[in-house]
Amino acid sequence: MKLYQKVLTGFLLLVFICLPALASAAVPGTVTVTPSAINIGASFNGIDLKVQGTIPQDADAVVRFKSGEQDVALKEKGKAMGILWMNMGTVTFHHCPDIFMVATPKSLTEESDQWKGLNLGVSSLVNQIEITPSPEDKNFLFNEFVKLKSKHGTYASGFGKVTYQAPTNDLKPFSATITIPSGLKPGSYEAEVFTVKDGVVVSKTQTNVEVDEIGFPKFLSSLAFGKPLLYGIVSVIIALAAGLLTGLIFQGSNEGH
Amino acid sequence: MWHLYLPIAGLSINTLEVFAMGGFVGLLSGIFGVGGGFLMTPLLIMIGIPPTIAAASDSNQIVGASTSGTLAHYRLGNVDFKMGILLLVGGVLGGTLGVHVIKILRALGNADFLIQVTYVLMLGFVGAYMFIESLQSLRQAKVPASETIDVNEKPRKESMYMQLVKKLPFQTRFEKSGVELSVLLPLILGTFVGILAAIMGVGGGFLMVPVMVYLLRMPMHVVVGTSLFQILFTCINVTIMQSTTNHTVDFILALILLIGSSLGAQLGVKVSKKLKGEQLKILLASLVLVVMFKMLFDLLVTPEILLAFAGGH
Repeated sequence: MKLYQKVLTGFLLLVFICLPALASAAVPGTVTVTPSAINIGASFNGIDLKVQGTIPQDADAVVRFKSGEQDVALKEKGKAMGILWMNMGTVTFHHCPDIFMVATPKSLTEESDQWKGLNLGVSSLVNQIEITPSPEDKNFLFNEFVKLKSKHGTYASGFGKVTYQAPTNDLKPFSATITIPSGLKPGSYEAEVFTVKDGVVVSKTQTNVEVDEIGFPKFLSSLAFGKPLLYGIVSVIIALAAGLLTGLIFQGSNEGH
Repeated sequence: MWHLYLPIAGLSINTLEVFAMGGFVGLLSGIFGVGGGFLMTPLLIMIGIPPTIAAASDSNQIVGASTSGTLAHYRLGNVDFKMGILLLVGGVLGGTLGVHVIKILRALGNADFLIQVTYVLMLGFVGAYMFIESLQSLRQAKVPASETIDVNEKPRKESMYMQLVKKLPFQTRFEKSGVELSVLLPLILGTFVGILAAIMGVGGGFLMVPVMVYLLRMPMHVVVGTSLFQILFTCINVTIMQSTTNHTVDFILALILLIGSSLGAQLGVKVSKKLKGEQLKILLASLVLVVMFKMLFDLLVTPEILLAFAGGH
């Protein structure tokens, strides 16, 4: 092997070794989401979604998981005749995600000005959500809406849930675990990673996460919506059979004594 | 590991928790002859089930519990089928009428206020009346001679109502209940309960039981069995209607509940057999009063969140 060949081979080797590092340096948002798709089976009980990637050493990562936007009609409670609390009227919230979950690193706390300035949290939704009929106090109603969604676990803020590992080559790996509740509807969801530097979002990566029903739940919902009469009759028959069966079993045990 | 996903409700539940809830409500159903919807629906909403799905799946569940309960009571000779069918026909008529009454009320405005207030007043009145009446009967049983005023008063009241009842045409004998009444009476009363139940969005067991005891003069144990028989058919109807029009029956939820409740109902019938009619009445009255106070409390205290998902009571 001639000298120039040795040099060339050495150079090519070096390039190959460095290539992955160069690639990830060029695109800081190399993000992996596990699992990459969510299947709702009979024993589904929510899931821990792990979002991992690398960002520049001097930046922060904010991770979100959200669904598409939809309209939700809710009952507004008020005092009827000035004394009794009950559902008064219907208010519709437009353009609100069904699921909205945020994870931040420790440095971005709920009360910090930097976090508020970023406008990435649950409270930022107030700008995109419209309420009809137009309320006197939109902020109040929006806050009640967030309370309701938080109670059901479909809106959540995990401050300090993004953790970092030791940086290499000016890049630091981050990871966040988002606990997704079981009340997740089938459809398309997005896992978003925002790279934040000096209080500004410098880049954003989106990863699509598909949620599907499989197995028995899928069979049952397609029956309930596709053949509702059959579904109703079968439900009644099985209930009747179960009731009769219990009755017969108990009759047997009574006669035994 | 004890979790199951409910495809219609769209969330998962703890199987053991729901099974226990079914058992508890089934027990009460077997003892008192009520469907227990007024207890089960709020319990299900508490664990996060959407209100419309809670109510519809509960009807499906009651089909199982009341089959089990009716069968057990039938063996004890506690089901008056003739009376039950007449009340049922009235109930179906009343239910259909009630749905239209709601529409008219809604058009007039303030319907929810009226419905809620009626519900609380009805629970309060029925509960208090049964409670006081059975307390007096229990006392009379202990000291028969001391309460002469009550003894004198009662027959007079009874005779006025009975005179009217005896004037109705189509008098017939109801063997199991041991009463002679006009066929029209259970039809009319069934319709009345059906209207109220439809307006309040409940099965009406807690109304039907006092109606049978005080207005049809049936013995308490036959009341429980006959009420369950009647509830069975009402709930079959509701389950199919809800499945076809609103898709709100979650079969998995109903199945777990009904395994619990049909077992509970069997146990309930045994408990019911051990208790005297008056004791049964006073216990049911207490239960109705507790539910009434809970509702009143919810109406008077500022809710934690001023928004709610639509549906339910």
